[in-house]
Amino acid sequence: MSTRLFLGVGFLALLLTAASLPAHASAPLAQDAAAGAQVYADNCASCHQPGGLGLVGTFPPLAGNPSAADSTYVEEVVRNGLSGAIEVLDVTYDGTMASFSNLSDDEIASVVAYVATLADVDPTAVPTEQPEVVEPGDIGEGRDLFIGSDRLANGGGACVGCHTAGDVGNLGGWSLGPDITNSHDALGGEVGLAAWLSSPASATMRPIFNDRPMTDDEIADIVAFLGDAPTQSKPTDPGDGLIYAGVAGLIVLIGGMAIAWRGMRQTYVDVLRSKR
Amino acid sequence: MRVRAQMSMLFHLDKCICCHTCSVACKNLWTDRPGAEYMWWNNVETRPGTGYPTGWEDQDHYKGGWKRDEKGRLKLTLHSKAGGLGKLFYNPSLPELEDYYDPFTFKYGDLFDTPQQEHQPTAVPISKITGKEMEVNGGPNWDDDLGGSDVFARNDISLEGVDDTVRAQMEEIERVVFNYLPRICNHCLNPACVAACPSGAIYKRGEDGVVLVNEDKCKGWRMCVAACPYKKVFYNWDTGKSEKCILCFPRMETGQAPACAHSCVGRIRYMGVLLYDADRIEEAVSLPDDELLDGQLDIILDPYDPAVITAAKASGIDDGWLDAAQRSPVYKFVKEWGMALPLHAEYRTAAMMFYVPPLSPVMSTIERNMVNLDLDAERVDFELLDQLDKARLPVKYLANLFSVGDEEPIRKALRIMLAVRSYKRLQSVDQSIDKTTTAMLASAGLTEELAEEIYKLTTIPTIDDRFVFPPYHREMSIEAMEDVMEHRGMAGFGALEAPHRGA
Repeated sequence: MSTRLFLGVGFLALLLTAASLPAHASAPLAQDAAAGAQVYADNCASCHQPGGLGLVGTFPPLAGNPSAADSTYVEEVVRNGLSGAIEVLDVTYDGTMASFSNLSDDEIASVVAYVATLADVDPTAVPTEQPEVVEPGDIGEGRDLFIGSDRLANGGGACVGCHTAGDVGNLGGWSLGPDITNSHDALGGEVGLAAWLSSPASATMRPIFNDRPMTDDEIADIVAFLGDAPTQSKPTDPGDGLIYAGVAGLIVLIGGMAIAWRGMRQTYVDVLRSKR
Repeated sequence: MRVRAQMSMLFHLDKCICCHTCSVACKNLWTDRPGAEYMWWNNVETRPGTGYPTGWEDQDHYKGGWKRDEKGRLKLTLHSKAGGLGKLFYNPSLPELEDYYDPFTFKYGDLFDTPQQEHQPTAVPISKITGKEMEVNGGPNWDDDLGGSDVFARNDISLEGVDDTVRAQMEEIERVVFNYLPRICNHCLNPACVAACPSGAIYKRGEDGVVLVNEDKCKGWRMCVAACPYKKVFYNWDTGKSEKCILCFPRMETGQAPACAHSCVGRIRYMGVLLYDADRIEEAVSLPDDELLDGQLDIILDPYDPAVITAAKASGIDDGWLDAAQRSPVYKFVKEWGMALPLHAEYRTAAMMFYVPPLSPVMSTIERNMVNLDLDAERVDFELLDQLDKARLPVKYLANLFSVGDEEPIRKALRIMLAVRSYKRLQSVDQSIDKTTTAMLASAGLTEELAEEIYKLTTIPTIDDRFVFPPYHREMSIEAMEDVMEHRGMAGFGALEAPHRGA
């Protein structure tokens, strides 16, 4: 009884407090930033790294980044993405960030609030060298995972379902997604690529891999394969030959059927009538 | 001995006039539905002819029924088990729609809707399947009374073994001969359709031997359609299931004759219970060709034999069924008098519908002097008895249909019918029986009492003589399975659950 009364009074007090706040309050609330940390971990941390430390030369840091405090700018970038050269803490970054317009307004507001808190971090705490890859993966294993002959442990789709890379496939891999032969370089080497794969941030891959993340071993193998991909020879383009071969095959097939089926398709009555 | 009961139908072909009332009764009752337009669970064929579907007896083409291999074992003609798997998705032995016929109707609406014009409108034929205008060039009895005889009659596979001169004679316009063959599902003891079904959807009912397709289990593989040598299982293209003659079991269960038998104008159909020994079916259908007919008739048991009665009761056949078996007109024709034979016993399915071979064309032949028999016109009947070879419808042909090529059973049946007919004619014309007639009866193996009995059941039977149904006691099985009042609410027209394609 007393607990319920206490809760009731507490709730009333909370309501009153909320109502008494000025309506135009743009100052980030503490709980906003706390919720934003979770949104950040789910969506941003794969590239910008936990704590917004970034990867030198690949993904710009948010920690100690003065632009992070500009909530209008951050919201703009989250909603629309960003591409082109920017300079952060004396390092130039030239990459592409996908749009995160799939996040709700609340989520964006909270993540903007969280990112603002990162701007206060001492810039000297941001690492200036990329970490070493501890355990390099196996190129062959990675290829098997890529083309789907080995399943991903948590049930994610094989890369080849959308992408092609290196020497995959006689006719090249699938082309729903971009050719990722050069992804290793584009994402700043093994660490950047591995970071990307650990929680893919593009709007298409996110729903696929959010609930079915790749394991660290799988990531290492795929990274090894993609690192090797630029050196592999591209499958040769069959060109028009394939079309000609298909047409010729069809003619042979239909021609053969026209001859063989003439007798087979006769019904019993037709046979009797032709006997007359 | 494992005694089972079979509801069996008998067709007295001597009385059939090919009016198709049976076919129409069946059509109206069971197959007047989408997907079933081309089906005739009951059809009547003009013979000699190729029947419906065209050439169904040509098992080199359709591969129906069973065959006996070198070791005397029984094999489906259609395929082995592995072969069946290979042909699951394309079975070349399956009859096509053209082998039956494209079912048609006419655009009757045109007769009413056409605006005034110089000529009268006509109702053009349209396909019942596509709805498009078509040229009618086939039907379930397209060769009815000889139309198209040089296509159909000449190619009747059962004419094999008939002398060439006789065959040539049969094609002469003035000497053409034909009889009629009504056909329903034979509700065989060794059904090839049941054996061929990959889904196990077909079964032979325990109490009366009716072979049924379970529409819930049927997956539409159509192996039954190909395996049935009589081509009496049909594929419904609308429901995606196979269906067949059900011997009107809902009618039989309430003591009524099946629609085809009940509506028969010539009263050619008889129905009754036959008891058979289920233990000996395999042995009977595995015999060499020349012993097949006897083998099949042999497993039909005598319902008066005390040993049979004891065994029947042990198998759960009650007194009502035994009584019906003892009064069965089919048993009399088949076993007591030896006048009725199964159709194409060489298919080894042990068909359980029986036929009394037709006599009429023989008589008309003599009466019109079409064949010079050098017979005394006054004593024609007596002499013909020994000269059945001179009959216009070759005995060999009937033997190919009903007795695996053996002419003796056909001769026996025809002799009995001739003898009874002469005896009754003399009796009613001369009011007395002479010694020649008595001798003729004796030579056909008959006494005067027996002749009277055959005459009565052939010529003046009442509906209760023709149809002897056992009490099915449906009320007991309903009570055992479900609430009576609920059952009453659910019984009636329509389906509780429509069959679903592929389900």
